Amino acid sequence: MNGQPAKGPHRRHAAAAAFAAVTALAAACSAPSHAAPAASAVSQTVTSYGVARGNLATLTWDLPYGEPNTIDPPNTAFYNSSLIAANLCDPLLRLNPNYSIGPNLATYQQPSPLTLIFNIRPGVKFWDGSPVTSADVVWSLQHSASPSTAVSFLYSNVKSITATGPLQVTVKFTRPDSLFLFEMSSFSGMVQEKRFAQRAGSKLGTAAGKIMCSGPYELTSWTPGTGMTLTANPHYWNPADRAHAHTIQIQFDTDSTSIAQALISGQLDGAYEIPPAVIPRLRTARSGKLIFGAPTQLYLTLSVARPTGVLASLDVRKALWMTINRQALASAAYSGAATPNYTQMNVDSWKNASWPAAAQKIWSAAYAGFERQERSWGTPAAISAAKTLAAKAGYHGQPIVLATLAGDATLAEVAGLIQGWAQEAGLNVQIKPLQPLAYDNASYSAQYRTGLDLLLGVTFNVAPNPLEPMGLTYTPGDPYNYTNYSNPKVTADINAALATSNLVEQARLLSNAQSIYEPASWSQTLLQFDEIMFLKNGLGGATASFAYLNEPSLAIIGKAAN
Amino acid sequence: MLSQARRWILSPLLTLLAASFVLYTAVWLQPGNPLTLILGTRASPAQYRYMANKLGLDRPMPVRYWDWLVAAVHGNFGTSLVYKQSVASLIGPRILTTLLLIAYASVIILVVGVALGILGGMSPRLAPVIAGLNGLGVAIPGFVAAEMLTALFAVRLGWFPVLGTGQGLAGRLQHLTLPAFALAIASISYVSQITRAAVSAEEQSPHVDTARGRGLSGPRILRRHVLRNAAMPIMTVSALTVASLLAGTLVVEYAFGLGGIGSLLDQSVSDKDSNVVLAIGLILVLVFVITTTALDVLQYLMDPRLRLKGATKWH
Repeated sequence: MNGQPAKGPHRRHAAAAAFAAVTALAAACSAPSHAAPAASAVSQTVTSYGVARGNLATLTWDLPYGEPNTIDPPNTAFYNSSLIAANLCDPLLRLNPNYSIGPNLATYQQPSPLTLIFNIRPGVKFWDGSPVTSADVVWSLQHSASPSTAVSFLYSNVKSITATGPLQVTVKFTRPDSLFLFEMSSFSGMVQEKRFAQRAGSKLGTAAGKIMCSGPYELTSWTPGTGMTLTANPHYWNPADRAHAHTIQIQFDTDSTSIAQALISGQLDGAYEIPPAVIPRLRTARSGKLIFGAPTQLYLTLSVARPTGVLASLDVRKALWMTINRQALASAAYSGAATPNYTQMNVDSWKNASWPAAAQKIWSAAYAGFERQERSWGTPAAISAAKTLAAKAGYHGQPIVLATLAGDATLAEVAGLIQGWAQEAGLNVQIKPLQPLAYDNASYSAQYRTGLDLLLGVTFNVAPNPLEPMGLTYTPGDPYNYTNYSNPKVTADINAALATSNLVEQARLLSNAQSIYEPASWSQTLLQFDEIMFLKNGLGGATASFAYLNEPSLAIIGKAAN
Repeated sequence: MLSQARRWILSPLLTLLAASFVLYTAVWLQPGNPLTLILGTRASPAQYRYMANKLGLDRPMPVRYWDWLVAAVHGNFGTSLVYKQSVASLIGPRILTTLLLIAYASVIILVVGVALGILGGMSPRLAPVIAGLNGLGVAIPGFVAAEMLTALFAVRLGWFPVLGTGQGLAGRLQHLTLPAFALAIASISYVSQITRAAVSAEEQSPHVDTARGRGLSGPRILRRHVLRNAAMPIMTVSALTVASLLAGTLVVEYAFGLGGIGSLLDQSVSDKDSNVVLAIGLILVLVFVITTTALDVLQYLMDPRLRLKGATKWH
């Protein structure tokens, strides 16, 4: 992914790019225990919050990114639509707490690196009572692979998808793809009823066409511009993820102030993706808890936008990075809901339970080296050194155009801070806010990056694995390789990592690649974010980490223990 | 009369046609590729070409505009690129919310604005107080009014909900009360100010002095000699103010989480969703055209001088 999306009120586009560009592992972040202790303070990050002991009549939930464009799963490449799809539809597989892949709607076998067999759980029914069959699974996967979806690229190594029995589906590959299995635990591996989908045609996933799935909730109404109603599926097959609220009322409010006021007044029961701007206001709310969730795969990036221009000089771009005070950014712009990050890969992409200890050791040792080098950046001494470095490189005040998202107050604040620090070192950063569509386009097309030197944005991985962003950034022709970076050793290591499922070997290969591309300094991941959510008093069982996007996270919220 | 009728029909149609062309061109000129919203940023160039061809986005602009125009004349405003639904089905549920909000705000503006204006115009003692209130009202932007009203009446007192549109007429009215006041505050001041000036001017005119001299009662003078003559400017300003509310709902709809056409227009412009932008844009133009034409007709009927001259006076 790594598509420079931004987060914030009124912002829908950005992460669509990102999410679409990813494999599908969000739950990998943490597979939260539903019995975690309640957090006592917002300064602590938690994986889940409270315990769901009882049922609710209604849960009223807001989507701060607004009304989804669609809920057709392979096109739910965004926070708002993905959350809804995850509560309506079942993916084939599920990520376990230890990040191994486990069964969900199907079990799987991998007889060879080029063959994957799914055996569908018998007896599972769609909301209309029809059984889930191999024909539905084949249709759903082929639908995901079709060129009209946002996740089509994830199927680029797939040769065929065929029904090899009434409850068996076989996927064959043209070359090994170690991330594909993870994709089957997300929206790209969700199963819909074939007959319903074909009848809906182009209206599938819209308010008019809806969808037919087998998840814990059924979509019973969707009034454009107003809201959605989800009703509990009484025949849901999986008791662990059963619906606790009989009805969920989904609101589409995107205004940060009114979201905060509705949470404070108790009109809303909760929301994920709370805009950072209202953190101070919600910290003191008596109606519920502001919760910082971790791990996440959300991070702030500042990337060089083109191979030419003033930042083609390594010394000039390094001088710019040296002026940035990451801790100050985390405190000032994100009210502490973020942590400084010192490599282009966000720390949580490898510091999570999906990696065995031996692999984490490799990652950790590599990270420590970069952290040592960069921790002092942003101090007066570093800014002074940056000034000298830029002058030596022949920099004499040429403008450095930093593009950010128009209308995003938090990113504007970040851009302003960066501009101020750069100025202290004599670097002339000019901020250029781009309209949402132009901003999204700039993240994938060189044509739209003309005249820009830097892109600032928030982005996220779905897979908790550096292979995902690396595989989209550091090999020639990658969509996020803005500077035409090309190193044969890096390319070979990344391709070898994609072909192996041995995670220690993967870590070794990828950290080798990291040791080569990192000093080239084409991009900086400045901060890693916490997931920011709010939950009304009396509710519990919520997933607080970014895993909420990959599991029926609204279904598991219930009345809290006394 | 025949030439007037021709003008009242032909002129609005030409305005709509010109507006549709300007809007279509403006959206077309806007930078950015809306397919990003459907395909994400990881799709291949071939995938982009496939979708552009499938959705007809690769055709020349004049051809697309002509196709849109022919379909629109037949009542088909096309499909939203982003939501993949007919524009009518997207706008339908939203326009009810917006129209109700505007109707509610209009009632508040007309009742409170005209009443305050009359009071100010008739009573020299109250005039400065009302002028002060008007100044304050005009100075408060809609989003600030929204936040203040919500903080007091929704969060602190709990009398009204913070967001949403509500169910049923009573529920909707309760949900729309704060938004309607937030939308109305600045316009109340404007209408009040114009009303006060018009009433005050009529109050000092010779025919009102004559009426007083004839011993007519105060209310009768107000009704028959002041308001009747002051009605023209009040009516003109009120009608144009109410028509302009449609364009001003955006801020209030966002602030109160109301899914109306203002917020949809904002989103669609941002998404370069041309069919939706056009449909809403034309609704805005249509409301203005209908309002001004209706005003024209009313003035023509109410003022015999216009009939004699064969032309309108007020705009």
